[in-house]
Amino acid sequence: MELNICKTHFIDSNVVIGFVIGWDNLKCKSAKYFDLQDFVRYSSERVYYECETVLNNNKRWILQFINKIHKDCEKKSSTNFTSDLSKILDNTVSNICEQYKYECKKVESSLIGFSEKYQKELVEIMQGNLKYNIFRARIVKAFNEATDNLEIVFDNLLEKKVCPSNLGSTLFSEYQNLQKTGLHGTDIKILLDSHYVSFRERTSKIGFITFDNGIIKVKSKIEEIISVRVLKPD
Amino acid sequence: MTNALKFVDELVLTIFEEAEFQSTMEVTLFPKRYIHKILFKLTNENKDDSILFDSVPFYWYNHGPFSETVAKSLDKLLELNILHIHETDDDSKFYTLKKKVKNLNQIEDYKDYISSLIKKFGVLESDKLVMDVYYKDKPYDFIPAYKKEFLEPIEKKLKVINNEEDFYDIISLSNLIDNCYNCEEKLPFEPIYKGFNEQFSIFSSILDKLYEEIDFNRFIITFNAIDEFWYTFAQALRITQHHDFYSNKLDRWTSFYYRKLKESKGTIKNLKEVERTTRHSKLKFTTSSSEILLSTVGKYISD
Repeated sequence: MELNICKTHFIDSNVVIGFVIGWDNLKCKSAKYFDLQDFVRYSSERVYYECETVLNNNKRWILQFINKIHKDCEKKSSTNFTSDLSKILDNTVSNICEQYKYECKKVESSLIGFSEKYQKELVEIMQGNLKYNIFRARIVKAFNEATDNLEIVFDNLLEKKVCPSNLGSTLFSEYQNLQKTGLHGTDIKILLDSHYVSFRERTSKIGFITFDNGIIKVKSKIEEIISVRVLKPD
Repeated sequence: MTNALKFVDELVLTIFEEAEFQSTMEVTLFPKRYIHKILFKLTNENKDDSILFDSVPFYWYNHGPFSETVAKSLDKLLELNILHIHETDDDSKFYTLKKKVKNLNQIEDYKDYISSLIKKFGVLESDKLVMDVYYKDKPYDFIPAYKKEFLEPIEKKLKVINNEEDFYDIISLSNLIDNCYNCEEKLPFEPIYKGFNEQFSIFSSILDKLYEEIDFNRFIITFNAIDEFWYTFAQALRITQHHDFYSNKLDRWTSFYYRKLKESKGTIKNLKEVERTTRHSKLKFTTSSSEILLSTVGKYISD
């Protein structure tokens, strides 16, 4: 198994998030990966913060979306709820993308995914047949469970390393070269964290465990720049 | 400082004179916020009047709309012995009119409007005026939701809580957390609030967990954090909601906001330490929660 090439691993945020939300494809792969013995697993404060931020951002976006639905149905009576819902969805995505213009597609995926899955409930809210705050409580509960799981993973399955916040300037040439591969800010910072942990733990190469296709695509370039092996759980 | 009264000084004095004229009290005490809010109403409801709008420039901040020009005018009128200031035992400050000034001839056009505002919001009803400004003139729904329905009600309740037993009787933790989510869903969308919004969403999750079970002492720690989050928000608020007159202050305000935002990260870290005592130890996946997470975060990470 390729994962065995390195006995020391650094876990990327998408692997952790997939695990804590029980994601279909990732879940079995993540869960299977975390079941494997004989690996030393590290991650960093930055990865933890990234996971926490992704979970809570998604929660907020959904709350903002259903708040708009709630406010809209207070204002007027509708004849075409599905069409209204679609307009509110577009409007919410466009509002949120003012802050997340580089992640707009992901914001859209999250809200569309939710809107499709819960269309019946959302229309019921619009019709006044489902109490909005009861539905909101379900959403909040789900995200709270995920953040609880996140704490448990970082407490029990990973060692969370504190890496210097200014690694981009300390490892400036590595930072610049990683930028040239086309990766974006947070990915680069997390890769530099793994490089730093590899150095601190005196391993020749640390396994960087990720599902991120953007990173996997430029795997060989990354491996030339920093002392990691990019690995994807089977 | 010149003794000559400016346009804004005359507007301020008109409020005092009109309110005294309408009042049956022997002495009328004017809270500072009353003067600011009446003048805010006057300018905000007459935005097309550029002379007025530009002479009394406002920005939204910690206590709602505030004008440095009005603050300076009040100081000037105190120095000129036209106004007098009274301090109460609880450090509240009130102004009184010490002597009337004749010939306020720059503000003739606004006298009737000010008079009608004072008829609507008497000086004894300054709370009503403040609420009206917060609910009708707010730039974001988040403002009244946080300040008037979340922060201040807790503040008021804390003043009458003397012991642990009072705390459980008076404070409803489930209502509080509901109010907190009411605020979260109303957070503004402008780019500068991104960092604040992200921290707020983490903050609300932590509060939710803490409020499952909390004692009075730990509750006070959370209240201080709630108060601090409002102050951090107010730093961003004045950056997005100000008259052009304050544009030269933007750099300073922006760096102050980001400094406060950094401090809020520390506050969250400290709250997590409080939270640690109530932490669970096993991973939990309930079906209904998993479905919600898969339809949202699952799509987000698979994109």
